Amino acid sequence: MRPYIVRRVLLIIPLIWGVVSSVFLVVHLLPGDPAAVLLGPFATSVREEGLRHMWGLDQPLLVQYVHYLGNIVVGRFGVSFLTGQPATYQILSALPYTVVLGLTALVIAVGAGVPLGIVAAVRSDTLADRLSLILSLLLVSAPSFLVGIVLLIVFSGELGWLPSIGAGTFPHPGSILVHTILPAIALSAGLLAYLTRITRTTLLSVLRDDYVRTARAKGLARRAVVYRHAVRNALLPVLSILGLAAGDVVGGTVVIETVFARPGIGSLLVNSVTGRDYIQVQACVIVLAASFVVMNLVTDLCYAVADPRIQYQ
Amino acid sequence: MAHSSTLPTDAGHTARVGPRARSRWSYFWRVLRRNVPALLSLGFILLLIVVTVFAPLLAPYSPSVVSPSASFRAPTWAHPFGTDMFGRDILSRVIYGTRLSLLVGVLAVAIGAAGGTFLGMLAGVSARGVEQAIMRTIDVALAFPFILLAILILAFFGQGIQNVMIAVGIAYMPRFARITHASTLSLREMEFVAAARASGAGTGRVMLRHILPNLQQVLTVYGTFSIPIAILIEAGLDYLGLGVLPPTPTWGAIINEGRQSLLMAPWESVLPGLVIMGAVLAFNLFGEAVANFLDPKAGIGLNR
Repeated sequence: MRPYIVRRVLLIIPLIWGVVSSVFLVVHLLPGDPAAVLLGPFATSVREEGLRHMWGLDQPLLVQYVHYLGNIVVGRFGVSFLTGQPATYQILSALPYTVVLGLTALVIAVGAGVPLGIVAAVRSDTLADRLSLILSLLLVSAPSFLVGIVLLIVFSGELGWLPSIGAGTFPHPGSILVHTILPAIALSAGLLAYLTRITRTTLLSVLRDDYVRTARAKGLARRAVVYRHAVRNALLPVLSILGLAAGDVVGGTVVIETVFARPGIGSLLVNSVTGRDYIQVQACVIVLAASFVVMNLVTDLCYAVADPRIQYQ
Repeated sequence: MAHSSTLPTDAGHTARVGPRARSRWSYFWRVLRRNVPALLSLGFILLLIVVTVFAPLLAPYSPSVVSPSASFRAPTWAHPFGTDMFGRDILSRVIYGTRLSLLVGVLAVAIGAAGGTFLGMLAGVSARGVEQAIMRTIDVALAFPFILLAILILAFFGQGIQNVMIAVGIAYMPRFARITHASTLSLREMEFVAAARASGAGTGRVMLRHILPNLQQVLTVYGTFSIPIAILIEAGLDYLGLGVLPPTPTWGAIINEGRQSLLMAPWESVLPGLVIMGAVLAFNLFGEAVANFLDPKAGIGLNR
């Protein structure tokens, strides 16, 4: 297993390099000149020339690429066109909000989705199973922003229980908590439903396996068979799916942060795209993609620990 | 959300259906007839298609004519979905939006399937160097969360309805490529491919005449699951204001326009949102029925 882990970890280096390079490529193939965009239609060409020089846009593409790679290795993404602040600084100030939101959503999705799926499988074809089917059908089909909008209208607008926008002030756990509940539920809804269905489907098929029948035949209680024998194996596919679904959570933060007007990498990205702030767009996209790569890595490693059969070919 | 469907990596090696095709689809119909949710879904999808075709006849008002005196009307019989800030009838905008959102969703998947299948097959039948180059590029593309990839491509092409379609389509290519590549890998070891090669068929002919027909099943399953996801991604882009330009009425764009007046005029956001949900639900349920029919192991158990 050790060689697998080492190779799996090393594998993300070319992947991140690919991400960083393709973002560079897309941004530099963009039509339109950032200097002209920033200065507006009445700028003198001398000032545009000056800006281009300042940003190094007047140098050959290859030189720009080498500078760009070197800067990213040390964590420098350049200066935001819109605010004049370092892009890295804006990322770092937005990151905690996004991490809190994303992790809370993951915890809700796994913490509710998996148990719901187990209940639905163990009590298949009962009322509980049917309710979980209907609920997951609705949630898996609802756009996350609709879930967010409805939660907002009901719990902030009508009932006034929870704040509608913002993310709270950072060192205060209470304020963060009340601001995170609604967005985290909205972000987790689709994944929760998906995990419920996957858990139910895989557990049902595991429960039909021979070893489960053997365990029952040798006199183990049904409860023990389900929880000690079947669930463990049923959770393996769930784990591997979780790695891919992490991408939906990362992508979902972009939408949900906008619904709740929360600060974070996602809303920073949307504002930067709208403001044609390519330096900041570049930084946000790289950070979000890299975090997805890392989450994928973590679930793969968990999978390797959970299933000793995994070998790296 | 863009869920990656659980698909078997192995192609179902059905021979080309040929003369038996008719009986196969009539068998599908017999299975479908007993599946009430899937039938209702099919009905809703047909309704959406009718709305798409006859939008100008069905819409009670113009989707774009502004009448300031009628702004922010709550839903009534005259305006079942209410009106927006400019007094435009939201039902009419949703009806025109159906046309755009449905077309964008379906065409984006078509673009992604065509491009992705080509890349996947090409990688599968090419020399190792070419295969590695294609598949490593696809790995990089898959390192971006779906909506992020679409946003990046949109930033490159600029806003507009065609570009949304192209962006979602390109974002889908690596997904289709990975699946068709996996199937091609097992197909290329089959004897009929070796026979075709031996009788002088070139790479292009092998791909088109021998591999592609055998990808039909895997493409049908993945394609039907992809349409609702494409609709959701497109709605998300338009909701964020990164997709189409106003006043183009897509489902997502209508909800985006309602953001500022969410608590004052919730109907402008919630009702179009429910239409999106209904469409996605219908495509999910019908897709699940198709998938279960073609490959009982596919799908996530939406029909159980």
